[in-house]
Amino acid sequence: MSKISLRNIVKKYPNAEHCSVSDFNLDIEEGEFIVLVGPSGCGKSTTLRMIAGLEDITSGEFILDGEVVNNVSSKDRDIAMVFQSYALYPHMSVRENVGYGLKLRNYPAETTKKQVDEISKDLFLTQYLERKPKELSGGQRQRVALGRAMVRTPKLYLMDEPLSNLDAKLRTTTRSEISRMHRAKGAITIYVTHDQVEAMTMADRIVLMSMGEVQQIGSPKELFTNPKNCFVATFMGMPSMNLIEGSYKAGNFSCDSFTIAVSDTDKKILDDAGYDGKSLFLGARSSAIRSGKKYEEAFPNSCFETTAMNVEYLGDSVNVFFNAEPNNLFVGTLGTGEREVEVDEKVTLVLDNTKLHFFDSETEESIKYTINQVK
Amino acid sequence: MENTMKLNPARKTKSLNRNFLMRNMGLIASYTFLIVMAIIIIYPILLTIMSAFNVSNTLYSTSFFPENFSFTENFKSLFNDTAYLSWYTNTFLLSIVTMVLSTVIVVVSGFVYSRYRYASRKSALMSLLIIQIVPSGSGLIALYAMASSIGIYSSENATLYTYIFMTLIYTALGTTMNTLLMKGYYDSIPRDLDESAKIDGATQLQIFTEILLPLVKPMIVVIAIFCFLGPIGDIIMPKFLIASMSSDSKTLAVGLMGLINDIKDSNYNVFAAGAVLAAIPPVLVFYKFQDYIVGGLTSGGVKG
Ligand SMILES: Nc1ncnc2c1ncn2[C@@H]1O[C@H](COP(=O)(O)OP(=O)(O)O)[C@@H](O)[C@H]1O
Ligand SMILES: [Mg+2]
Repeated sequence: MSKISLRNIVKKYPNAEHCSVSDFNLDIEEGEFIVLVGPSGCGKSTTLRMIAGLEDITSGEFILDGEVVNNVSSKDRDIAMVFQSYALYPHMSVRENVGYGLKLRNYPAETTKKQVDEISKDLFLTQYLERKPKELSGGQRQRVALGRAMVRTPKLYLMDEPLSNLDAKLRTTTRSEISRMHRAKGAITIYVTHDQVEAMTMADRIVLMSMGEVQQIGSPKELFTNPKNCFVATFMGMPSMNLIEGSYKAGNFSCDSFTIAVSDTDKKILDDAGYDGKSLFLGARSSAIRSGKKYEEAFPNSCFETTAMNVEYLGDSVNVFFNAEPNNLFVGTLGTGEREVEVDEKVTLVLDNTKLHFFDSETEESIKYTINQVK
Repeated sequence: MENTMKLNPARKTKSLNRNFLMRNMGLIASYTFLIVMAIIIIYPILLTIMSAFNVSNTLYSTSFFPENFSFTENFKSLFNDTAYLSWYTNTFLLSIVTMVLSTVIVVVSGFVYSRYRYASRKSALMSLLIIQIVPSGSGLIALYAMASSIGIYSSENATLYTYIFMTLIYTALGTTMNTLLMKGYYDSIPRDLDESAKIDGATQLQIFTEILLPLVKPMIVVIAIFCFLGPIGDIIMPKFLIASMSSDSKTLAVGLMGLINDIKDSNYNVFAAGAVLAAIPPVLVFYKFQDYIVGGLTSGGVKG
């Protein structure tokens, strides 16, 4: 029996036309770190708020420890939550903010003090304990918000984009701070973000949502290597996966700009699925696009010549943008040791055809999804 | 080339200096306006204070600086010849009770309007606005009729009942606009705070008393002051309702008005002395809470 089950959860706001969340299903095991990710407005916060008890569940069941708790109030659900706005109490000092939950639960004063001191030390807040939130920097406020959640040991931690107001550097350090805290506490954490990097780096399992619907649930690796549809494929990974429309015939994929041979395994899959002579989307991550002798020799049938439209220098690697009709830009990431490309230069690029994805051009579902899943 | 380079900074400074007046035009204009306003407001106040210390009988003979200066004369006759002390107690009792009642009601109703959603919420808010449109004077006859129909005037404790009646009316008057003000202030406090407290384990009552009340304190002070001042400044309603009663049962405004009502027999200097004394409590209140008043009216509940 799972610790937490969400069964067919639907949310329709009273005055809204469409459901904000439709048919959400998820089982969560003890100690998992779940990340809800998706573009803005896809229903992540709504889902989290239903779990928190801040929003009514229109239909479906939320089961916690084997009991349906749809109608249990937030304060009795034994959860802690970090808000995007931090929601620190402005009139209380940091110490009072962090200790408020304990005080309300009638912990003795010494215990509260001890626990607040401990968590503050962990979060480097000791010297700010007597300050009011408005006397703190953004990063410090964020840590107070974390501390307020972490000082208790609830069944469930909920976090709604807790890092989105921090600068990039602080975001990276706090990210690992949260992961570390999660490992120390071992309680289930449900974390909402729109940032796929956060999702990839922190999650045990990712729930990717779009327009109120779950697109795919799986480990970061599963979502990255075996995306269920075009949406998942383009959402996960940076830069996002190149999709190009073309047609497949007898082991060859051709679009306006190039024709390449697919690998033998892919050929078999595509033929078996009946795509011979049909149009489909080819998906290629920028890391599957290479250049240089070594690759040309390895994949002699999937090379094509093109002109570099733009080049982005990233230090260790270079993003090369080139034109591939009908979609405008295609991006490849060339690592160190590969040839340096100038803007407007003609280059021969190689598609590593062992790493290609294919999507049905109508349903946008991955053709290889079920086959890869079995593997 | 070199020459122009050398010349340029000097010329620039000069033209900047010449623009000093132009650049500060806005500042100068605002100061002029403020000074004029201050004079318009301060002059009558000074005039009143000065005449409180002047012993003479007519307004026309009163000059700005007292001719027959006396510290106490006017105040003595105020306490000896009129029922000033009971006007004073009547008025401030009325004010304080009104203030307490309206403030309690406003603090709770503002919370309810801001935080709860129920079927009649919109129409209730609308009616608060509509009530504002009706001038309060237009209800006077009705109030009088109401007071006499419930038998206030024929009872033995007519004065006490009239005051209770007035307290209720002032309380009602004090709650309409102020409820809207208060609701706005509650609205400025993010719902996240309520929700965060809820998850921390607070009950609805604890959210109200421990999270929201401390944050709306500046507005509570402002509204308490408004409600406190309302009855002190009002003359029309008490005049209507207590006109027929003994001198002891008047309010400050009505009593003082009586001193200058009769052109021949009026005593402007005693009136001024009464007015100065009457102004002391409101002035003290304003002085004590000026930070709250400015803060409450200009910023929301949660800063930075
Ligand atoms: N209180 C509300 N009333 C009506 N619609 C809402 C409300 N809150 C959110 N929505 C709608 O629900 C959808 C999902 O919102 P939300 O869960 O906040 O998205 P996310 O957190 O993924 O950005 C959006 O289309 C939004 O407009
Ligand atoms: Mg959100």
